[in-house]
Amino acid sequence: MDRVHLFDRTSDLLKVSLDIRSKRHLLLVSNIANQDTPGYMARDISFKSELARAVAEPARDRLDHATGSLTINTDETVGNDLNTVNIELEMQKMASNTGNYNALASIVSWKYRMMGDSISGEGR
Amino acid sequence: MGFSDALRISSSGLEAERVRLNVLAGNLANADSTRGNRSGSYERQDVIFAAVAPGQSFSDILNSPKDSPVKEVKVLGMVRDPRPLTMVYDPDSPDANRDGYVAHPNVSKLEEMTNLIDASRAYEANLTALDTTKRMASKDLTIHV
Repeated sequence: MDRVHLFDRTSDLLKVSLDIRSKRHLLLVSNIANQDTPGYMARDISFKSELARAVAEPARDRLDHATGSLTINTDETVGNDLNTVNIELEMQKMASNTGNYNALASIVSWKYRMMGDSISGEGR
Repeated sequence: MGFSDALRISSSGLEAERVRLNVLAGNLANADSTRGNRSGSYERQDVIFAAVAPGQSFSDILNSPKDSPVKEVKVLGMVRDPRPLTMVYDPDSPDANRDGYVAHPNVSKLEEMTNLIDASRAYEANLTALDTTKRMASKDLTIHV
Protein backbone atom coordinates (compact mmCIF):
# COMPACT_ATOMS: atom_id res chain seq x y z
CA MET A 1 0.00 0.00 0.00
CA ASP A 2 1.25 3.46 -0.88
CA ARG A 3 2.25 5.84 1.84
CA VAL A 4 -0.34 8.40 2.64
CA HIS A 5 0.99 11.96 2.48
CA LEU A 6 -0.75 14.63 4.45
CA PHE A 7 0.78 17.34 2.30
CA ASP A 8 0.80 15.69 -1.10
CA ARG A 9 2.02 16.71 -4.54
CA THR A 10 -1.10 18.78 -5.20
CA SER A 11 -0.39 20.96 -2.16
CA ASP A 12 3.18 21.47 -3.37
CA LEU A 13 2.02 22.38 -6.87
CA LEU A 14 -0.58 24.79 -5.51
CA LYS A 15 2.05 26.45 -3.33
CA VAL A 16 4.48 26.79 -6.25
CA SER A 17 1.70 28.10 -8.49
CA LEU A 18 0.71 30.75 -5.94
CA ASP A 19 4.38 31.75 -5.65
CA ILE A 20 4.72 32.18 -9.41
CA ARG A 21 1.44 34.09 -9.66
CA SER A 22 2.48 36.54 -6.94
CA LYS A 23 5.92 36.95 -8.52
CA ARG A 24 4.28 37.72 -11.87
CA HIS A 25 1.94 40.16 -10.09
CA LEU A 26 4.98 42.11 -8.82
CA LEU A 27 6.36 42.40 -12.35
CA LEU A 28 3.01 43.55 -13.75
CA VAL A 29 2.54 46.11 -10.95
CA SER A 30 6.08 47.35 -11.64
CA ASN A 31 5.23 47.73 -15.35
CA ILE A 32 2.11 49.73 -14.49
CA ALA A 33 4.01 52.01 -12.08
CA ASN A 34 6.67 52.66 -14.73
CA GLN A 35 4.34 53.36 -17.63
CA ASP A 36 5.75 56.90 -17.96
CA THR A 37 9.40 56.20 -17.13
CA PRO A 38 11.58 56.91 -20.16
CA GLY A 39 13.58 53.89 -21.30
CA TYR A 40 11.69 51.42 -19.09
CA MET A 41 10.99 48.11 -20.81
CA ALA A 42 8.02 45.96 -19.85
CA ARG A 43 8.90 42.66 -18.17
CA ASP A 44 6.96 39.45 -17.77
CA ILE A 45 7.45 35.78 -16.89
CA SER A 46 5.74 32.76 -18.37
CA PHE A 47 3.69 30.89 -15.77
CA LYS A 48 3.93 27.67 -17.76
CA SER A 49 7.71 27.53 -18.04
CA GLU A 50 8.21 28.75 -14.45
CA LEU A 51 5.96 25.93 -13.19
CA ALA A 52 7.75 23.37 -15.37
CA ARG A 53 11.09 24.55 -14.00
CA ALA A 54 9.87 24.50 -10.38
CA VAL A 55 8.68 20.91 -10.85
CA ALA A 56 11.98 19.91 -12.48
CA GLU A 57 14.17 21.58 -9.81
CA PRO A 58 12.12 21.65 -6.60
CA ALA A 59 15.12 22.67 -4.49
CA ARG A 60 15.61 26.00 -6.24
CA ASP A 61 14.68 29.18 -4.47
CA ARG A 62 11.39 30.04 -6.08
CA LEU A 63 11.33 33.65 -5.00
CA ASP A 64 14.54 34.35 -6.88
CA HIS A 65 13.74 37.04 -9.39
CA ALA A 66 16.60 36.41 -11.77
CA THR A 67 14.58 33.72 -13.49
CA GLY A 68 15.00 31.99 -16.80
CA SER A 69 11.69 32.80 -18.41
CA LEU A 70 11.91 36.55 -17.79
CA THR A 71 11.05 38.35 -21.01
CA ILE A 72 11.68 42.01 -21.67
CA ASN A 73 9.58 43.69 -24.29
CA THR A 74 11.98 45.55 -26.54
CA ASP A 75 10.27 45.75 -29.91
CA GLU A 76 7.02 47.54 -29.23
CA THR A 77 8.13 51.14 -28.92
CA VAL A 78 5.12 53.25 -27.96
CA GLY A 79 6.05 56.91 -28.29
CA ASN A 80 9.63 58.13 -28.62
CA ASP A 81 10.76 57.84 -24.99
CA LEU A 82 11.79 54.18 -25.52
CA ASN A 83 9.18 53.02 -23.00
CA THR A 84 7.64 49.71 -24.07
CA VAL A 85 4.77 49.44 -21.56
CA ASN A 86 1.43 48.81 -23.23
CA ILE A 87 -0.89 49.81 -20.39
CA GLU A 88 -4.00 48.09 -21.78
CA LEU A 89 -2.09 44.82 -22.15
CA GLU A 90 -0.63 45.13 -18.64
CA MET A 91 -4.04 45.77 -17.06
CA GLN A 92 -5.47 42.75 -18.91
CA LYS A 93 -2.54 40.57 -17.80
CA MET A 94 -2.97 41.75 -14.20
CA ALA A 95 -6.70 40.97 -14.23
CA SER A 96 -6.17 37.47 -15.59
CA ASN A 97 -3.22 36.77 -13.27
CA THR A 98 -5.25 37.91 -10.24
CA GLY A 99 -8.21 35.78 -11.30
CA ASN A 100 -5.96 32.75 -11.48
CA TYR A 101 -4.37 33.61 -8.13
CA ASN A 102 -7.75 33.86 -6.42
CA ALA A 103 -8.85 30.56 -7.99
CA LEU A 104 -5.70 28.85 -6.69
CA ALA A 105 -6.21 30.32 -3.22
CA SER A 106 -9.78 28.98 -3.21
CA ILE A 107 -8.57 25.52 -4.21
CA VAL A 108 -6.01 25.53 -1.38
CA SER A 109 -8.80 26.53 0.99
CA TRP A 110 -11.08 23.70 -0.21
CA LYS A 111 -8.25 21.20 0.10
CA TYR A 112 -7.60 22.12 3.71
CA ARG A 113 -11.30 22.07 4.49
CA MET A 114 -11.53 18.54 3.05
CA MET A 115 -8.59 17.54 5.24
CA GLY A 116 -10.26 19.08 8.26
CA ASP A 117 -13.50 17.28 7.49
CA SER A 118 -11.77 13.92 7.29
CA ILE A 119 -9.99 14.55 10.58
CA SER A 120 -13.11 15.59 12.45
CA GLY A 121 -15.20 12.94 10.67
CA GLU A 122 -18.07 15.24 9.98
CA GLY A 123 -19.45 15.97 6.52
CA ARG A 124 -20.77 19.36 5.63
CA MET B 1 9.32 40.21 -2.12
CA GLY B 2 5.68 39.91 -1.37
CA PHE B 3 2.52 41.93 -1.50
CA SER B 4 4.07 44.68 0.58
CA ASP B 5 6.48 45.27 -2.30
CA ALA B 6 3.62 45.32 -4.79
CA LEU B 7 1.82 47.87 -2.60
CA ARG B 8 4.97 49.95 -2.30
CA ILE B 9 5.54 49.91 -6.07
CA SER B 10 1.95 50.95 -6.78
CA SER B 11 2.12 53.75 -4.23
CA SER B 12 5.42 54.93 -5.76
CA GLY B 13 3.55 55.12 -9.06
CA LEU B 14 0.73 57.08 -7.41
CA GLU B 15 3.21 59.48 -5.81
CA ALA B 16 5.14 60.02 -9.05
CA GLU B 17 1.97 60.72 -11.03
CA ARG B 18 0.71 63.07 -8.32
CA VAL B 19 3.96 65.06 -8.46
CA ARG B 20 3.61 65.16 -12.24
CA LEU B 21 0.00 66.36 -11.91
CA ASN B 22 1.14 69.14 -9.57
CA VAL B 23 3.89 70.27 -11.94
CA LEU B 24 1.54 70.20 -14.93
CA ALA B 25 -1.07 72.18 -13.00
CA GLY B 26 1.65 74.72 -12.19
CA ASN B 27 2.51 74.98 -15.88
CA LEU B 28 -1.12 75.51 -16.82
CA ALA B 29 -1.65 78.11 -14.11
CA ASN B 30 1.47 80.00 -15.20
CA ALA B 31 0.82 79.76 -18.93
CA ASP B 32 0.64 83.57 -19.09
CA SER B 33 3.04 84.58 -16.29
CA THR B 34 5.52 86.99 -17.81
CA ARG B 35 7.43 87.12 -14.54
CA GLY B 36 8.44 84.15 -12.47
CA ASN B 37 12.16 83.67 -12.29
CA ARG B 38 15.26 85.84 -12.27
CA SER B 39 15.64 85.84 -16.04
CA GLY B 40 12.05 86.95 -16.54
CA SER B 41 9.17 84.87 -17.83
CA TYR B 42 8.02 81.60 -16.27
CA GLU B 43 9.56 78.58 -17.95
CA ARG B 44 7.78 75.25 -18.37
CA GLN B 45 8.78 72.58 -15.84
CA ASP B 46 8.80 68.84 -16.36
CA VAL B 47 9.51 65.88 -14.08
CA ILE B 48 12.09 63.13 -14.57
CA PHE B 49 10.97 59.60 -13.69
CA ALA B 50 13.44 56.82 -13.03
CA ALA B 51 12.86 53.09 -12.49
CA VAL B 52 14.63 51.97 -9.30
CA ALA B 53 14.62 48.75 -7.29
CA PRO B 54 11.98 48.99 -4.53
CA GLY B 55 12.93 50.08 -1.04
CA GLN B 56 16.38 51.35 -1.88
CA SER B 57 17.88 54.78 -1.78
CA PHE B 58 19.43 56.26 -4.90
CA SER B 59 22.97 55.72 -3.61
CA ASP B 60 22.21 52.05 -2.91
CA ILE B 61 21.26 51.58 -6.52
CA LEU B 62 24.32 53.43 -7.76
CA ASN B 63 26.60 51.27 -5.62
CA SER B 64 25.05 47.86 -6.22
CA PRO B 65 25.29 46.50 -9.75
CA LYS B 66 22.82 43.65 -9.01
CA ASP B 67 19.72 44.29 -11.03
CA SER B 68 16.24 43.29 -9.94
CA PRO B 69 13.61 43.10 -12.68
CA VAL B 70 11.01 44.58 -10.32
CA LYS B 71 11.16 48.38 -10.24
CA GLU B 72 9.34 51.15 -8.49
CA VAL B 73 9.22 54.64 -9.94
CA LYS B 74 10.98 57.60 -8.40
CA VAL B 75 10.85 61.29 -9.23
CA LEU B 76 14.49 62.23 -9.71
CA GLY B 77 13.83 65.90 -10.06
CA MET B 78 12.42 68.67 -12.15
CA VAL B 79 13.88 70.16 -15.29
CA ARG B 80 13.17 73.33 -17.18
CA ASP B 81 11.88 72.80 -20.69
CA PRO B 82 14.69 73.88 -23.06
CA ARG B 83 12.29 75.16 -25.71
CA PRO B 84 12.61 78.90 -26.38
CA LEU B 85 10.14 81.38 -24.90
CA THR B 86 7.48 82.80 -27.19
CA MET B 87 8.13 86.42 -28.09
CA VAL B 88 4.94 88.46 -28.42
CA TYR B 89 4.91 92.04 -29.76
CA ASP B 90 3.26 94.15 -27.05
CA PRO B 91 5.09 97.48 -26.67
CA ASP B 92 2.67 98.75 -23.98
CA SER B 93 3.42 95.95 -21.57
CA PRO B 94 5.65 96.84 -18.60
CA ASP B 95 7.67 93.70 -19.38
CA ALA B 96 8.39 94.70 -22.98
CA ASN B 97 12.02 94.86 -24.06
CA ARG B 98 13.57 97.70 -26.11
CA ASP B 99 12.10 96.33 -29.35
CA GLY B 100 8.62 96.08 -27.82
CA TYR B 101 8.57 92.29 -27.43
CA VAL B 102 7.38 90.46 -24.30
CA ALA B 103 8.72 86.99 -23.47
CA HIS B 104 5.80 84.66 -22.77
CA PRO B 105 6.20 81.21 -21.17
CA ASN B 106 6.99 78.27 -23.45
CA VAL B 107 3.81 76.55 -22.23
CA SER B 108 1.31 75.12 -24.68
CA LYS B 109 -2.06 74.85 -22.95
CA LEU B 110 -3.18 72.12 -25.31
CA GLU B 111 -0.06 70.09 -24.59
CA GLU B 112 -0.45 70.55 -20.82
CA MET B 113 -4.09 69.42 -20.94
CA THR B 114 -3.09 66.28 -22.87
CA ASN B 115 -0.32 65.54 -20.36
CA LEU B 116 -2.74 66.19 -17.50
CA ILE B 117 -5.20 63.60 -18.84
CA ASP B 118 -2.33 61.15 -19.38
CA ALA B 119 -1.07 61.62 -15.81
CA SER B 120 -4.55 61.26 -14.35
CA ARG B 121 -5.16 58.01 -16.27
CA ALA B 122 -1.77 56.68 -15.14
CA TYR B 123 -2.75 57.54 -11.55
CA GLU B 124 -5.98 55.57 -11.96
CA ALA B 125 -4.10 52.57 -13.37
CA ASN B 126 -1.84 52.52 -10.32
CA LEU B 127 -4.85 52.84 -8.05
CA THR B 128 -6.45 49.82 -9.75
CA ALA B 129 -3.21 47.86 -9.34
CA LEU B 130 -3.11 48.78 -5.64
CA ASP B 131 -6.69 47.65 -5.16
CA THR B 132 -6.00 44.36 -6.99
CA THR B 133 -3.01 43.65 -4.73
CA LYS B 134 -5.13 44.40 -1.68
CA ARG B 135 -7.78 41.93 -2.84
CA MET B 136 -5.17 39.24 -3.54
CA ALA B 137 -3.71 39.70 -0.06
CA SER B 138 -7.11 39.45 1.62
CA LYS B 139 -7.90 36.37 -0.50
CA ASP B 140 -4.87 34.75 1.18
CA LEU B 141 -6.53 35.24 4.56
CA THR B 142 -9.49 33.13 3.47
CA ILE B 143 -7.26 30.04 3.37
CA HIS B 144 -8.21 28.13 6.51
CA VAL B 145 -9.54 24.77 7.58
